[in-house]
Amino acid sequence: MEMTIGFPRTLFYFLYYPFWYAFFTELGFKVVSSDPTNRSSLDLGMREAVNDACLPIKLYHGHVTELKDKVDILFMPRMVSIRKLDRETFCPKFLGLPDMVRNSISGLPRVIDQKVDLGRGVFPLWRLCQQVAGDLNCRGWPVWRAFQKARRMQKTFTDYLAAGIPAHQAIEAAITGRACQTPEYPPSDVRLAILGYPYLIYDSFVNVCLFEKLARMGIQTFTVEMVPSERLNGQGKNLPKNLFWNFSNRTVQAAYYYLEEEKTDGIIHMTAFGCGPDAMVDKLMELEAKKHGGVPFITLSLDEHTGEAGVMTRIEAFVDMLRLRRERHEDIISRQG
Amino acid sequence: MLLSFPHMGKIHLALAEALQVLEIPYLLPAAPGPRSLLLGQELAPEGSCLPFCLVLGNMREALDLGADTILMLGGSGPCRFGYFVYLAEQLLRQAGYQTEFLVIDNGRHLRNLITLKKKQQVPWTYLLKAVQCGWHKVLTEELLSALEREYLAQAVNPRPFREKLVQWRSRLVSAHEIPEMIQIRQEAEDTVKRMPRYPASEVLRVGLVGDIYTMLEPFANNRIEEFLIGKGISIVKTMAVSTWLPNILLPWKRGSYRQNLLQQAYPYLRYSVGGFGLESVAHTRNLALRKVDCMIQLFPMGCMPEIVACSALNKLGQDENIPILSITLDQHDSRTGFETRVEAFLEMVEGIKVNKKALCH
Repeated sequence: MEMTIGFPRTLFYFLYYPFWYAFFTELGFKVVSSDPTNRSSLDLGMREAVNDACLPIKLYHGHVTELKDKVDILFMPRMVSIRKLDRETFCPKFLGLPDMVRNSISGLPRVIDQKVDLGRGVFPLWRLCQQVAGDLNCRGWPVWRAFQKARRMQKTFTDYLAAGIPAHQAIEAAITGRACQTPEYPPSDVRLAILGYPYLIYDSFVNVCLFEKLARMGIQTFTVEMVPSERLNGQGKNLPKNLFWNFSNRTVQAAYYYLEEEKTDGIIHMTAFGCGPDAMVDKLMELEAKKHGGVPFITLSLDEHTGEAGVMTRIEAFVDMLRLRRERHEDIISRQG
Repeated sequence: MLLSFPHMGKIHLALAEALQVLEIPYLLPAAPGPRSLLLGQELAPEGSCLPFCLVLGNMREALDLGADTILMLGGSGPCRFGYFVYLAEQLLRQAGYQTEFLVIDNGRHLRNLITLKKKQQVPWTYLLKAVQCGWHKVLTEELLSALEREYLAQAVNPRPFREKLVQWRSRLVSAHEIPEMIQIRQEAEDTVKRMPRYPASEVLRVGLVGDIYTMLEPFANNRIEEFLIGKGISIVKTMAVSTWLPNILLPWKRGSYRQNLLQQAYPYLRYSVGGFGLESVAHTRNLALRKVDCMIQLFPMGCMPEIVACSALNKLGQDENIPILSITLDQHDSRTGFETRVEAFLEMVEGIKVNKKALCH
């Protein structure tokens, strides 16, 4: 019988699932991911996780609990670093994630928790794939073939994301190979950058379907993944020191990019309550927005109790202010001109 | 130039001593207290941890008193501590403070020392002596504190021991030569060795673990040590400036230190999570098996490494049958609630201990 590998549908799922999906499938395994985040993943997560953990970590516990009896092997990589930049790493909770899950949840199936440390060594990604495949008793040529296929699929996927296709559609399109249509946007008059970590931005349960709602309100949205990667890496030169956390650096750099390009009318920063790095990220973004002539900036903090109405009220108020501000601005111009 | 630095436990003793030897004018801000917290909260971002608020507030207090240069340690994460000084710099600039920063960071501590040396035009031997003097001062003070919290509760006659402690401390304040400090240390150790003590098993012993700032700064931990000592409880705490500094500043010590911790924390934590997460797990296991009756873990709200450690401590406590209390400290200043929880916990542990003894007899 075919062995199944479980992949929780949160945290790094939104950026790296297509890669691992292709890799494991090509090696002859069946990849199962948990259901999209819902009330029960949240409840399970809150029951299992340490009470001081932040919302995303609790959700991860929830997804693992849901998956653990359905699969033979759980894939929970230890994310240490994915690019060579100073000593950039991930948030401590990511570094200790496999341990946290093991300590909190009993009755886990076999776990693969290889260290994803791509900031060091030569051909780190290939070596990582060899190790993971080695854990699954796969060696030699098939591993190389799976690795190549995975890289191709990941490339397709990141291209879709860069084109502004929502992550779940992009993942679907990348793994099924079906062409992905760019969704039709209604004409928009306001452009907003929605910045934050992929597991908040792309999880529509957590962000209460923000993107669909914004599109309906006639707002065009930009995300971190839509910044061309070579431009992203060049940003943030004026930071006194790079932050230590990968997702945080990407978010700050994206904010700098959008501010510099003057591509957006405002910035929404989505953060999870109790997120350690975000306390700093948020302040750095705010300071930078001030420096660019006071670009409107709002922080949305999401937690276990996030109510749709509360989030939408704040967003609507923010957008109304943007429109008002523009009208006044145009008024002044037309009077003077 | 008027140099200043934020407080963290006893580290100011070392810095002040070193700066005295180098004849650099410095200003010592008041120990962190409610005022530092208020000043820090004004500027600090929402969601930043208690240590950051206190450090930032402490810097502001120093700057308000007239300091113009701040000396502070940086770092490379993944704990937020390493970014404190960089963020503080931006926030203080934004608030209109004009200040220079001397950051001691990876690869930079030597360079900064050289800058200081050039500025003061002192010979190398002086610099070496400054570092050594500072080191011995903090080492001695921390040894005295360690002896006090561990053995005061065990002393049959605590009074003379307490008087001795005062004497040693006052001698240490005026001591500026290394041999004298070494002598104080030896005397203290000898006295404790010869002092009539109750057997350790008759006194309630508590181990403390947590992040470094909360462990070392009394205001950040609601003065838990005073509170416990007052109740006649013996405390074991491995966290100290003198055990931490060499392991991060001397590159040849780093590797083996970490290996050792990883071994002790296995299998509850298999990777270093920054800050003192690994230490908390390793020391809990170490202490609980040998020396103490229970453990208390203290950390500020939102402290990432300690949250990971907390999950490991939960499991470790269950597996090895160790009573562990984890308390998250936030920025509300309420000692009563804190003390009630600690008290209740200690009473329970005491009960367990008495029961165990009754079973043995």
